[in-house]
Amino acid sequence: MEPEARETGDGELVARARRGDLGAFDELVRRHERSAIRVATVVCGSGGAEDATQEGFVRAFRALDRFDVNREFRPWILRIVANAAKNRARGERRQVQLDLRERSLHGSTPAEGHDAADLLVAEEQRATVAAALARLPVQDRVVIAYRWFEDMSEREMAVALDVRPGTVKSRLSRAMTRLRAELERSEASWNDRRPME
Amino acid sequence: MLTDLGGLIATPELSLVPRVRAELATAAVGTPRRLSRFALVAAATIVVALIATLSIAPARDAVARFLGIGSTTVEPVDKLPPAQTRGALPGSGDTGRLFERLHEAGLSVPDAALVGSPLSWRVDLKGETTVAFADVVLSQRRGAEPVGKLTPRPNGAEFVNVGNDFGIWVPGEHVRQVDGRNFSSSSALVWVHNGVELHLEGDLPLARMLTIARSMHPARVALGTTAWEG
Repeated sequence: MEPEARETGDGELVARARRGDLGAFDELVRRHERSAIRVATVVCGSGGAEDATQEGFVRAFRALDRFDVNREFRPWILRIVANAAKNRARGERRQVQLDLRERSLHGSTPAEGHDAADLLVAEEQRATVAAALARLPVQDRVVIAYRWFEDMSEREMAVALDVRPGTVKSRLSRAMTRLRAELERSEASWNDRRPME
Repeated sequence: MLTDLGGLIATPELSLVPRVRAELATAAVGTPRRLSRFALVAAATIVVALIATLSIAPARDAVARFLGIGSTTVEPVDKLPPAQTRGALPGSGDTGRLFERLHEAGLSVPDAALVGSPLSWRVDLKGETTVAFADVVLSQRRGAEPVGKLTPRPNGAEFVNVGNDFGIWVPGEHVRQVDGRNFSSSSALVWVHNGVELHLEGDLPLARMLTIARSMHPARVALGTTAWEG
């Protein structure tokens, strides 16, 4: 089936899916699965993200009749996927692991003024941030993912979190404070391990 | 840094569309419990590769050329060839006798509440038996000539579940080729059940066609009711 042109809105696709057009729902999955898998990964780790995302979309399909087509689909589906991922994370009781793609240094061209060593440092820093993020409580990870990974507006985040817009600001602020604390702990731990100079 | 990190989180490359679709199709059978992941993967084995490939042009045409079920193949074309309309079916009147013959051949009928009484028919128990209702035409084929379905691009066929059987949904106007002749056809649902290939054609949406298809039951059951009378 041909992918829909982007001018077909999510609301129209939802309306068609409600009438039995599974192809329309396929297109909704295609449009939002990358974001959904990222959010699921942040919530329950790389291991269970696919299953959680699949479960989220299936739940969403079953709940389509409750979705208001005049509202945005993305925050709604991300909320459903995040909840599915949270259920999975609760069941597993393991610390979440966030795997990063390997960026081949051979293919990377250092920016002007930087060299391969700088790239390595940047890689390390990313891994440190990912590890710190993984140590945060799930609600903090989710709000950081919505804001920084999915670039959601405050209004979208309110829908995705099912809270008032004012609450979004305070949750994000709290999450960032905890992330900074985790990063400082990482740095302190790193300094402790460095050999005496 | 955080924005950059989002793009680096390792996520699977393959689309989840086939898996979601397979689970939705399996759930539509009426299985109340969720199947285990293994069972879902096993059930969707035939479907996943083809649906995933159908989503990726330009391989889509190459695979769709081989998309088929039973003796029916589906092929997308740039332009539909000229086609004649299906001729009138010769049989009419005595639906009781019709159901006796369908019963003898081990064929099925849909729920009368959904399609009404048969209006006309042609019975060929060694080939294709066709019964026309008000909104749909049902053909049941056993050992009949191969059928080609030519569909206009960009409209394409897709796999669906009909009960526990896999089927193909061919949406919209297309051409049905049988024995070297072209017949115009409206949307069609094709599936195989117990060795019989069933074609349900009509200008109805998929959801309605699936409801009719899933209501199919042995003709011997229909013989025992008066639902078809009148």
